[in-house]
Amino acid sequence: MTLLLAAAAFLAHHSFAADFDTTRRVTLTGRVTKIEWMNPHVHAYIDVKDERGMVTNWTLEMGSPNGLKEKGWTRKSLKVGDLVTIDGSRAKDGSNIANVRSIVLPSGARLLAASSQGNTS
Amino acid sequence: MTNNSRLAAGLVLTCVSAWACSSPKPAAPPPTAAPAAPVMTPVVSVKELMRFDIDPVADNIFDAVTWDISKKGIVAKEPTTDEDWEKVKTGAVSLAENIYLLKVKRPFAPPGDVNNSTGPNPPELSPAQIQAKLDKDPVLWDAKIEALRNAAKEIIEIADKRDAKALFEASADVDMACENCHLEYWYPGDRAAVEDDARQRARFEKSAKSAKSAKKK
Repeated sequence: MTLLLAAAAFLAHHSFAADFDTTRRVTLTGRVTKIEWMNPHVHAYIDVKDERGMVTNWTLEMGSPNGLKEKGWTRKSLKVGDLVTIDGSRAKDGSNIANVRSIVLPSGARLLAASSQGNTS
Repeated sequence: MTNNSRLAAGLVLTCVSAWACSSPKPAAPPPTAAPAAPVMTPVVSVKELMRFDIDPVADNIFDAVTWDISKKGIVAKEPTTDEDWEKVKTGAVSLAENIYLLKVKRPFAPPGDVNNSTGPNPPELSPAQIQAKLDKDPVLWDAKIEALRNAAKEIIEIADKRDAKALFEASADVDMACENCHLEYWYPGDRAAVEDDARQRARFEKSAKSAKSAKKK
């Protein structure tokens, strides 16, 4: 089945487009080292190993806890040590920060990262 | 007093009363001009007010309840002591009160700062564009301010009740009030992506539902 992924993800209190470049899409596979479950955004950190064996820790920005909950997340969805693959947009400043659109868990399930608030009233 | 004196006194009183009734009323003293409202003059721009005041006090709320999951295990942090709750309430009161400073006319950015409003597809509006939006519909601007104030007032009540679970939920409302205003005035370009996200999500859910029912068959 083709998964239809959510579109852009956002940082609250920042313009997503100001901080992230949608033309610099990034797909990363790595092990989770830490998760910060808090408002206004949940952050996860993963160690990504390149082809030379060099490990880089990436910061992954996701939506709010409530936003994630609406998309089927619980606080236990992601665990330290999990091998995950994420799809997102890279920070414009070139740092190892990505705004996540979706994440594939060890079970193979793909969850949307809920960064956009969907509150356009 | 004799009868004559009583009569004289009565006549005098009658005459005075008659004069008083027939004479035009003395002019009311000129109304005192209402005291002028104190003039509030801003010190900083909206952008600076957000950076140095609103955003830091909001962190008193956002940072109060967290779950840090690492190799060391899960560290759940929530306010427990008097000091912890005082900090949350300080944040909420400051937010509720200080957001009204946005009603004081002030520039949207420091001189020379045009936000990220240049180049192709700029992500942010310029201060002049934001001002034009405000001038066009000041009621909407005030409504956005009230929305954040209400969310902050909710936090004040929660801090008084010391309900950490409710605090976590309600802090999302604070974030939403902030974000709604930003999407309106700061980076409305993101709104299209937000709406696109909602559409894609709806298609995804429809597709998942169809796949599920097909599997059942």
